Amino acid sequence: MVQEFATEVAEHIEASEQILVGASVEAPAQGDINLLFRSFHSIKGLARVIGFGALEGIAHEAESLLATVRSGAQALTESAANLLLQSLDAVKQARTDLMEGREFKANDKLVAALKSATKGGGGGSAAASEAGASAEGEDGTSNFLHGDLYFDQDTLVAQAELFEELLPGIARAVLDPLSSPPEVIQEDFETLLFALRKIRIQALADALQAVAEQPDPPRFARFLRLLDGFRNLLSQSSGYAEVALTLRGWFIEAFRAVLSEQRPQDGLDYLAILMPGNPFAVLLPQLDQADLDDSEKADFLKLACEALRTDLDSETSTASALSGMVADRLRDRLRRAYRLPPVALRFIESRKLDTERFTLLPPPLVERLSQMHQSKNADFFEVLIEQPASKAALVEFAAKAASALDPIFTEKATVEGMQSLVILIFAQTDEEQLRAKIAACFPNPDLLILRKLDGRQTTAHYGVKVKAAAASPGSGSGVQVRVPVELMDAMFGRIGQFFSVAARFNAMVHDSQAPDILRELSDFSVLHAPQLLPKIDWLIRQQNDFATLEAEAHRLISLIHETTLGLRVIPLETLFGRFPRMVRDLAQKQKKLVRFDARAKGIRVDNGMVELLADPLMHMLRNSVDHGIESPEERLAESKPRTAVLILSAEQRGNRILVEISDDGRGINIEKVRTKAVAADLVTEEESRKLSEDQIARFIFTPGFSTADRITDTSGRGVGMDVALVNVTKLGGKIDIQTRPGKGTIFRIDMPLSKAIQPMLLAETGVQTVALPDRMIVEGTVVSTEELQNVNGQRSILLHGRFLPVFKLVELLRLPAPPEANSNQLSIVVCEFNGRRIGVEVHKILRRNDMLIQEMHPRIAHLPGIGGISTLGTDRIVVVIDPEGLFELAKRHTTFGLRTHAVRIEHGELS
Amino acid sequence: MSPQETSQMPLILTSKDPSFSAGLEQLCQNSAVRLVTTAGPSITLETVRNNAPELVLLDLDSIDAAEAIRLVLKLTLVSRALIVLTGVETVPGEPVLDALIQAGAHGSLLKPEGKTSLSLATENGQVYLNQLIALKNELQRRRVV
Repeated sequence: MVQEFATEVAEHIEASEQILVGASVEAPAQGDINLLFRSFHSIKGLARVIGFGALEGIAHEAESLLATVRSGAQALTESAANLLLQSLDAVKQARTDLMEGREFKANDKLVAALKSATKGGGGGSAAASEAGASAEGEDGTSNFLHGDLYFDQDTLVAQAELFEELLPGIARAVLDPLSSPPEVIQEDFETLLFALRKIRIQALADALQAVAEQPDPPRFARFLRLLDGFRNLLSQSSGYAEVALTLRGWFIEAFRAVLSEQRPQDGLDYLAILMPGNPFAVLLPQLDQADLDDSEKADFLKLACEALRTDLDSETSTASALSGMVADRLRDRLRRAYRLPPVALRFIESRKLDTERFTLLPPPLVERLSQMHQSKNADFFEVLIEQPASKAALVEFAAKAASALDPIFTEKATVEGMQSLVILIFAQTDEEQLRAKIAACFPNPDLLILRKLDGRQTTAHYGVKVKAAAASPGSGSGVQVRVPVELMDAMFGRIGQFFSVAARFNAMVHDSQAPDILRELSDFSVLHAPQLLPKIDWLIRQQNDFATLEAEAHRLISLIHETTLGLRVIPLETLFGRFPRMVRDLAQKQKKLVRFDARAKGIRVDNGMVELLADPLMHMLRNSVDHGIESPEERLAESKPRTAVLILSAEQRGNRILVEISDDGRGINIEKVRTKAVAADLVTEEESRKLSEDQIARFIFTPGFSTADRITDTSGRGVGMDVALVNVTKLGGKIDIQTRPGKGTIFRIDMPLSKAIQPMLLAETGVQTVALPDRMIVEGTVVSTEELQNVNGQRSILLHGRFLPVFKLVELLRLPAPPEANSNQLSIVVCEFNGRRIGVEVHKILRRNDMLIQEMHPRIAHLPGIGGISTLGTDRIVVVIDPEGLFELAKRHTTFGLRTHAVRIEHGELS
Repeated sequence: MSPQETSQMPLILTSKDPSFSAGLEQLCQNSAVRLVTTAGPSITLETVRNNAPELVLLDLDSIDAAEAIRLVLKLTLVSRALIVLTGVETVPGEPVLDALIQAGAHGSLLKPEGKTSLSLATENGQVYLNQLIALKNELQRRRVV
């Protein structure tokens, strides 16, 4: 129960936080407000189930506040958003407390603040408050509840009862003046009118007044139709049915009269009373407004009259077949102008655009889009531009977009974490020209994203929406099942083992000599033991079945492999979504203006990687906000926009992903890093002068290294960036830094999509097969033993004009020495890690292979240089090398400081 | 209230989309229309009672259909104002439009770029406002009772 609560609540927190963080820039869409409301409602329910009263109280008040926002009674102001974010923080705290067995303390202050914000609603438009202020009733009370006909439901019911009592008599008197004395009828009218005016249901009162003045069929029908709405709203009969029945003949006669004059649209009130639900009741007003020529309209009116006469003659309330047919034809005709022709829809479909957006469009747009498929060298483009905060600027901005780009659609949306204007255009395909055109119109063109939608794009705001069901293979019903990660990991482990068994099975079938032996036996027995032939034949069939089964098993295991790989990966958005709040809070705290843009681009990664990646990204983002990004004043002084841009983006390149964190801040102070590195004895002054800027910048990954003059709550202690490097390395990745003074810094993480299956280079040490992760391999080379040289006591070779230190892998890993080889050639794998290169001598370089990395036994997990184990098909164990550990071992083995000398060697200093 | 204001046509817009409201507000400046905007249906009824508009424009793209139907039913009871719907689902033959006409709405007008609220910022905006005024005049002319 606790676990389920924690999981459910975490999902609500994540979804809500994203919306609320975005709310500081732009009022969320109604759908988002609804989602927020539902989230807090669900949290309240969950808290109640688990008996968490204090949390239930907070969620309840947050829900109430959102109810006022949802109803439009007040806007989601920044202070309201802050309160809701604080509520989410409380929910997070409650979740943690629950999981750790602590008591969650009530937050009365927060509850009171939420209550006060809910009561203080009405912060909507000026008109709203104006209306609210003047809504004082005659009796001095606030007369109208928001959205209600009258403040007192009982009074409305009493009015309905009054109608029920008096109207039938009035109706009868209309048909038969002798049925009631005129003064009684007059009094009844006055009673009803007084009551209606008292409760300010003015239009109904006016319609009744018109009936009182001249009780003819059109006036009575008008009043009765309004009364129908009144009784429906109140669910009170109000005498409607009796009156409608009493006056039915009267109305039929009047309706036939307008039909005979081919004016059915003038008889809509009769139609609504006589045949509620008849399709012409709603189609005739639409025909009236339709952009059809007069003769076509007249034809339809004629047909409608004929159909309606048939309906009247049938004396049933249901429409006749003729009515149905004519109505369908009319509906189809009315919609035609709003539909794209199939050829245009196919063109849009070929561009992988969301065709649902194009199903019904205003006629001028239909006309324009209908021609597009014929355009040469033109295509759809999506332009994303940062959205200005104020309404007026937004409108001005959209006007500029319209004049410059002639857009098809212009929308506000949160795209990849950025509050944007998203514009769909159709333009000539010269992207440079287009970019220049857009750049000329908008401030800060650096912030614009231009995507060509030619059908090859993977994601786009206006693109085809990927259904959730499609993302999870085989889940056609859309039903989702929660599975604990541990269980998933255990399953992947078993599948890995099954993989090995299947590989052995495969080797057994293919390496088996059984078919040949059986064939020989068969040949022999033909002549020498014919009585054994049936048994040998049976064995041959058995062998064939065995091979067939193996092939089938192989196919199935491949499918299982593919499917489970799909299960292992989750959207990167789930991770990126955690950061906007953190960046927002941190920036607010430091009074910095930061526009954070997280673009996960739909990439899915191994779920095991997400947690390991979270810390590195958090550290690097904090570092950027804390130290990289300047205060608005400093930025202005540097002629930069007051708002800094911090971008977290990901891009898939084959089976690797590239995650970038870039800011437009002050950049890393290279001189300061160099000085600190020298002071910390990480490098000598002389050596430091020979390093490139990017190499110097890498010192920030050294444990305990910090250039910060001040320590903040979040960074500056020299802890964090080293952790980031360690975690990324564990994931099989590497981090590069690119920094430019005054322009900003880019951290670039390059890592595999999955840590479970990685490409490896297999090599033999003579005693053990090893796998070297592909990412650390620069090249493999075979050199003559004569090429080995001794540089300062270190075995080295001259490769591409530079000295490369060479280490025997068996020595680094302390493996038993292999038998002495007679060959005078050395197989060397050139490896690189963290900007350093070494040569690793192996017995033989084998081949490249994608390998499933398995967890190691804890006893060998700590062995330096070994990152995991894997198996080959023959169940042979393969040791997977850990790049960082291997370089650490090499450093210990070298007779001189590898770190600095490796760099020197790279620079060709030791010739 | 200035003489110019009194001669202006009062129009109430109910929309939860601030950019649509802002766009229309800008268009109505120095026009024959005096626009009053409400940020949601809950206050429309009161605003209509207090402003006696000739036209109420409901932005269906930002209001839930069921909510809009209830609002139309109530509006027809308290005001003689014409009720015009705007939004992507106001295409003829759409079930939502049918239901709203059944409830008492008088007409509909599509936004220039479909659901795109920012379209009012373009030159289409003026066309839209002109169409709206023309529609109001036509609906008033056709009123039977």
